Amino acid sequence: MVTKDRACYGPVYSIKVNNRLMRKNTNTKVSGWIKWGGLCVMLIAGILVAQENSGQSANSVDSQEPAVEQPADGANESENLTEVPAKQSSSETQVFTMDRYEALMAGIAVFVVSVFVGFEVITKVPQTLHTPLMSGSNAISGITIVGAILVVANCVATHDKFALFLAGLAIALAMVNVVGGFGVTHRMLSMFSSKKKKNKSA
Amino acid sequence: MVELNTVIFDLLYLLAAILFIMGIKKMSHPRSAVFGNLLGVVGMLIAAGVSFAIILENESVQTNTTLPLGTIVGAIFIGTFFGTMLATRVQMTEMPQLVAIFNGVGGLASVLVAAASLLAAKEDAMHVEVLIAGGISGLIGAITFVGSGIAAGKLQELAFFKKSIPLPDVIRHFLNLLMLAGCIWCIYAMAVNGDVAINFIGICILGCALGYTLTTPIGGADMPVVIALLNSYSGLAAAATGFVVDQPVLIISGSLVGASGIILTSLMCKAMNRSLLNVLFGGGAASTYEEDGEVYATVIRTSPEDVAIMIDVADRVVFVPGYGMAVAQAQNAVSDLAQQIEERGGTVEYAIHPVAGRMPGHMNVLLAEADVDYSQLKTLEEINPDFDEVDVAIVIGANDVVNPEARKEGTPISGMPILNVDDARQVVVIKRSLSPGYAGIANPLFAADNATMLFGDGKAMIQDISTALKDLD
Repeated sequence: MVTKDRACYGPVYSIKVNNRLMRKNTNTKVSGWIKWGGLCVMLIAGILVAQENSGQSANSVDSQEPAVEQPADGANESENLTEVPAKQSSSETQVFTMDRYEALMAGIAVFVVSVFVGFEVITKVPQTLHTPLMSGSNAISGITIVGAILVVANCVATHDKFALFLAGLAIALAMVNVVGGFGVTHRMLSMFSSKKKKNKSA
Repeated sequence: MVELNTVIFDLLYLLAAILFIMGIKKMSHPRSAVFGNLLGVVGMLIAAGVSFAIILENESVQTNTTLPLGTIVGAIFIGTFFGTMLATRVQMTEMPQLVAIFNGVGGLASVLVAAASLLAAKEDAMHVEVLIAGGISGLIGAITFVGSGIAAGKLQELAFFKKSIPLPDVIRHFLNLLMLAGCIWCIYAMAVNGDVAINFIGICILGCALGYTLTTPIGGADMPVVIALLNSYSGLAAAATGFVVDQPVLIISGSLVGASGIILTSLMCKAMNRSLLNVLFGGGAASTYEEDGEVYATVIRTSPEDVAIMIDVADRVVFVPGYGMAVAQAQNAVSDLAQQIEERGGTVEYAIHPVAGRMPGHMNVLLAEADVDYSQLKTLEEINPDFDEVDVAIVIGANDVVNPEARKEGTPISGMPILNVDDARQVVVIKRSLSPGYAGIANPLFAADNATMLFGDGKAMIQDISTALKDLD
């Protein structure tokens, strides 16, 4: 089944990367962590896949299953992964639809894989550049500005003034991060690179 | 039906993420690193531009709402202003504080985005996974914000941040666990019951408290670990926010930053031969220092003039900088002295221990500021086999990272990789006094046969050596 393959994609890839790291024997501690991380994710993925199966069988056997209300569209009717919490909430539908499951799994896979990409890329950064690396990656974590800008649209749609205030504040803070981070990184890196053999006056 | 615009926007987001990865990849060499940073800037511009395009397009579809463009542009302007101020005004010696502040700001931004998006979300969009991600983002972001603030205050040596609550370790750990459990319960309650506002506030408050109790006991030489770890947290918070607003570009970038921080953290821990848990919960090094007259019985004092003569005949000189060099602001004096040595036909290198200073790569940045070529900056692995060919090793403001006790069993720093300075033919240690380093133990190197001590302020002493060297002609 396509979904299962997708669900397993992250862990499988992680093991691949891990093997490569192990073979190079660059950083055994990191590779140990990766191994455990990969195993944990595989475990979670396994649980989710197992639940999916049990949900299906429950769907096919139990006829009273659709007691939980479903979205009215016909796109995701056949396979519902139902995860009924201990306490039924009043307002929201707790149907864990296939669409959402797939989106979540894809998100987690993206997360895991990019952590490994990060490991691969960053282990090659020399010690000399560790401070610029930190400030540069700091600037990259200012990517929350994307979230902040997108949330503004929601705030406007729901006419929530307070949420809008928070979003505006978030934009300003993320911008400090982005501009300050990239700026100071550039300042540091240009000190490293512009080495015309010293001709300054002592 | 997927619209063409959506596809284009998503692909552009992906392009931004690719540019970030390429940018960090280019950081593997100082020559290409500037270009790498510019790639990151381009990626960020694309990402922000696409976000604008998306909300503008939304506005044109829903005609009844108007976007508060003034607010957005104003916020961007304010942020740019403060960012530029910080980036251009801050001294290189204050870099650890600045990075800590940026970490904290990033964490707070993640919290606010998660809060705004949970508040403004429509009822039918309040899915379990979104709520959990929002809770995690709030928790990590709050820890990062307060933790970084305290770290920055400690690095700036503000008196307020120096004192920590005198609690026994056991109670402190118990409190931390309790608060963590409280956070997890809040996240659970939020996901199941849907009382978003109350629980989210609870998570943030507990997260702030955790950030405080986790960072206050840590200080001094353990700071590099804390900063690297907080750097990682700020990335993870951004990644969790990515799950809240359902944007893969946030997840990719956030986990990149998270991975970067984790790698640096583990490198720092390895360079101290301590586990992360030991650094975080070990509760500071015990300062059980007693005047160790026995060890220091054979200490030889020297003068700048003697050192100048020593350097004059030396072919290979290695400087070993530590945090003391940053405190004394001696990097330019060191660079000038190095230049003189080179003019006299000697070679100069700098041996830099991974945990020298208060953040990863701290010494390298300071020396780069003083126009030292990066090819002269040697790592522990590069320089250690060569130390027996070094004529003069000048240790300036470093202590624990050159302490031969690390090779013995049963000392607080046993097993820590050190610079084998004692293998050099002659060692000059520039230090204010014989007081111990952060580990609180005496350093037999100071009393070794081939070592001489030069007591005084690092910058003044280096300048004195410079003048003495000039006077030799």
